[in-house]
Amino acid sequence: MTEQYLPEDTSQQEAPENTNLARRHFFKRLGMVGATGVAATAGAATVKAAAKVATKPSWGGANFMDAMGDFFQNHYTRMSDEDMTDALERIKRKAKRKFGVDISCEDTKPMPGTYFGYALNLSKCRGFRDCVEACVSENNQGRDSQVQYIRVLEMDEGDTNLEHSDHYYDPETVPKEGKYYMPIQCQQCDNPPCVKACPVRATWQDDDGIVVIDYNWCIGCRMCMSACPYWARHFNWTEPQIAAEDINPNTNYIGNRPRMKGVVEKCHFCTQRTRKGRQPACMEACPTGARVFGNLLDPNSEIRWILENKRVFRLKEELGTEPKFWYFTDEARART
Amino acid sequence: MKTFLAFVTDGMKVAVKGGPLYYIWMLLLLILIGITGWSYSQQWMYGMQITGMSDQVSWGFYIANFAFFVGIAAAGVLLTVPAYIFHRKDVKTLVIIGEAMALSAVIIAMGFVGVDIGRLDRAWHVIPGLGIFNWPNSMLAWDIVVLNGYLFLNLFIPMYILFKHYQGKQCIFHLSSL
Repeated sequence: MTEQYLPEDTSQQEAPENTNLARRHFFKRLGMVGATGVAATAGAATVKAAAKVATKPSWGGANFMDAMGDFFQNHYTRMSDEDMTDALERIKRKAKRKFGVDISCEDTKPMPGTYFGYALNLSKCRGFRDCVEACVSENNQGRDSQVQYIRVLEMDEGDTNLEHSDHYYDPETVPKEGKYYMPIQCQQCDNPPCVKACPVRATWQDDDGIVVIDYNWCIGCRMCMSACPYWARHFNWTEPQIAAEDINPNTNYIGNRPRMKGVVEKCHFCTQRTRKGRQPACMEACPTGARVFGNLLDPNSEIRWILENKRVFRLKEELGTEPKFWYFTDEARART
Repeated sequence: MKTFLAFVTDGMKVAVKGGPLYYIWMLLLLILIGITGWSYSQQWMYGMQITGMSDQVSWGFYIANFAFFVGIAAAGVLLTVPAYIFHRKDVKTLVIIGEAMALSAVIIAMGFVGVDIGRLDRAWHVIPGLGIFNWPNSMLAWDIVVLNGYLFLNLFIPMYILFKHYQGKQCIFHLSSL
């Protein structure tokens, strides 16, 4: 029953470069369903296991010329059109060598007149984690490293203290009696602390309000991770491994293209979809309709209706991060 | 300039001369450096998972050691300060040792930051002009400024003092005159 909610499914068992049976079983035993990091809670035993694991180093499919091209590649905002074309070609070549898959990769710019926000109905979320699964397969996260942008917190009824939450919940069926579920992902802050923390401006807020990362500029110092109060950012502790048939071939530069080890990544509101007028993968996958994504500048959008008619709140608003991610419930709005 | 080159070569000669115990010690240190190099090559090939850090614990032993050696480096200067503020002649003999300790400690501290970042090959991204240096917003940018400034000070002040000593001259200034 719970198996179907696992973000990593059986297909990862056939990952070509993945010879690490021992560790996978180790993690399975621990029941680390929603683990976001490699050695999340396992401690010293994991370190040992992890050191044994990698029998063969992976260079992310780069040959010498591509590695040189990557090395001298400039910052996203300083690249000319030819530079960008070269970079996209390199990404495609590397994916072909590493995964044996032909992917498309483009540079999606923000659409004019858009400013994206997200609203989530806590009354409707039932903790299925379908959004997590959809996100992982849409955004080409490493299956072995178990990077997941969305964490669904299991909270006690009548308690909003995040310290009491559990995101490794693994019952037979959800929702569990006396619990409610609160998915957390990048809140796309309007005053993002991660952007300030980055020493090289590898992450910035785009014109449509989405905080994006240039994976080729990130030096992997993880300052942004310690700056983020939402635990939205994830580091690639190892080379991300994905089975060839699990690759999403529709990628963009700033979003879901295959990442390399040693860089930080996070939810980018599925820029490869939303900048073309589509819904993000998590919203499309949600079976209960708890998720509402939309353009905040459009007065007729559903999200604007929610913000005007529902009692909404934002997470850790007192920190002044100005998230563009609102939570609401189906209770009637209080009238004065 | 000529005297400076002689000063450098003479300094090198002093550094590689010593008794058998000294060579054994040097060999031991070289072996330790070799082990470090091999360990880092492992981390480079397999990713930072071998450090045992995770998204939850993203700062580990590296940063703890970095903080420790920054403390040692600061202590090196604090050791030399009484010599100038209280005009203690007997402490002045410790100045060079204190500065040398600060210098080596700050190099080690920078090394720990270097192995802690995931993509050391992209370290050139922090060089202003060539890369993008997000100063004064980023805390790490401040760290880079402070560490490099401290490295510069600790490299050049003792070098100046030693060079004057090598020439048999008195230092023209000392810190209290600033």
